[in-house]
Amino acid sequence: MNKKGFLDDFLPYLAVGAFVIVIAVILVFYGATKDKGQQDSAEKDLLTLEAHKALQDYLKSSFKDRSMAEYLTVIAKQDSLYPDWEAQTKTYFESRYPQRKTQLVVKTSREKMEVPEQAPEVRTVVYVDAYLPSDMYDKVVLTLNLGIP
Amino acid sequence: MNKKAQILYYALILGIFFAFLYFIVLQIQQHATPQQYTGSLAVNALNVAERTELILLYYEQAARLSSYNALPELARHGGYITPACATYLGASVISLKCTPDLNVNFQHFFNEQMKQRLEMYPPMPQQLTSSLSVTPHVSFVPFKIYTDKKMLVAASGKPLDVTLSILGQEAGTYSLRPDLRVEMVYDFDLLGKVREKMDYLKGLEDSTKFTPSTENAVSVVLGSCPAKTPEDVFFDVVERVSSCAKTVLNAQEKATCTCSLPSDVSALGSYRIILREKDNSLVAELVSNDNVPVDVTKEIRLAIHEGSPFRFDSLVEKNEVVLTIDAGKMLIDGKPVSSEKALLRYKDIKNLITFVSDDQQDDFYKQIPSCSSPPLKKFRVCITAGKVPQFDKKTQQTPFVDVHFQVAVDVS
Repeated sequence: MNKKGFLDDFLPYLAVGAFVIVIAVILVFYGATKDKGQQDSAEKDLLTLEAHKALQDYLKSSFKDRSMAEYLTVIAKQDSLYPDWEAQTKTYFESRYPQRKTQLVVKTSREKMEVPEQAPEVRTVVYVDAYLPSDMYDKVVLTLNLGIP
Repeated sequence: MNKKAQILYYALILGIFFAFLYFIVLQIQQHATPQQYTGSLAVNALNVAERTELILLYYEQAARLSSYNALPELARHGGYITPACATYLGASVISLKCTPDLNVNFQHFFNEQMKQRLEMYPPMPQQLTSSLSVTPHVSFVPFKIYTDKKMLVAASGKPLDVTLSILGQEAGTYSLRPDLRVEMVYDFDLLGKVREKMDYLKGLEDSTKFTPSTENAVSVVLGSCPAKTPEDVFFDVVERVSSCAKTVLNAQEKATCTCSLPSDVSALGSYRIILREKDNSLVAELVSNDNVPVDVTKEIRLAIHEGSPFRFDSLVEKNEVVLTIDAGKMLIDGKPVSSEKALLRYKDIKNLITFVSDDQQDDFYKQIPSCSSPPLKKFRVCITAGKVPQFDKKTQQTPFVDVHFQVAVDVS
């Protein structure tokens, strides 16, 4: 058998073998990527669920039995009963969600307040918002950013 | 086939291979972050449920604010929605024939407030996760109210529907009844006590039989509640002058006695109260800054006392007196006057009343006794029942304010 004859006989097998290997690698890579994507998506959705609960707990426990009008005076920092609203809010989330980074944004028609002031650096972050009625501003929007560091 | 042309097959195979590879890479990129995974539907359903809880929190807070605004509104109307029988000096009349149902009427004002607040809830879709969005259908239907001490229960007749869409496709509706149970700082049992006070007032023979009640929870005083508007001050002044005109002087009061005017007239602002004699009657008018009589109610021109001559002082006959305020101080025709002993009532000249400014009040005048209250069959009382937090637009504060029921009692 001469050299040329050898190539002629085995080249198609080599080509098919290489093709199969490449396809296998692609499928493995595709599978891994898809799994990662699904994992990320599930993680975000579960984090959203956690954020919903966190915002509910915060509102229900921090302002239980109090009127929203009082709550708004807290935001406006005009009520001497709650002089340190930002610090209290920060402490609340840090103590209950030590594994998470949080930022609470309160938006009224006049002002926007963020606790903490700078958005934390996070790997994954979600946000949920809640609307609250108000005599002072008609309505107030609270947004909780919940992130995984 | 010529063997030399076989190279074209290799090129074709490579071309198909790279085309397929490109297709696979595109597919991977497209689905690198899949939005569906095992259990995603369950997580989405939980997220919708939690989202709805936050909407219910809006309802709850709206109910709290609505109650705190509805209570003073109910009190301002004397416990009625609209005056069922009549008004007397700006106050709704209660009598044996007319008594307001406070609980039912509170529900009316509560629902008015709730309607305004629920209409403010943003109706647009809200994206919760990359695949899930919800559209809340917050709409108002009247609530039925139950109260027990500091607890308010509001039952809705219509469910709250939240439509959920997954990947842009409508996937269903989450529905629940927004029935609320709200803890308040106001004790609703006070409304029952107000009703008890009203029943007591209706049973009186006349105003002289009234005994003031100043207990902490619910207090009742004869006269007006604190004036908040020029109209309130107007009615307070008219009531005092009218009462003074009806005074029957007894033997101890000799020839004269004095009556007072309201002590707090600051709410009069830039308005003026003009009292004049017309067609042998004493007529009072509330006039705004632009010299136009204010159309407060039908009682704007009020004949205080039929056939009462009216004179400013004992020497100079006048047929008109103007009450104004300056820096919170009451003025009679521009002269300062203290509320105490502002009116002088003569016994010998039938029904004659004189307005006496401070500069006219000498030591002799100050010794004149105060007139005793006449027995009135129609009179105003102020029932104060607890406090609620109220937002003040001027101060931007939310102080606790008294809930004043201004009512007129008719026992004639």
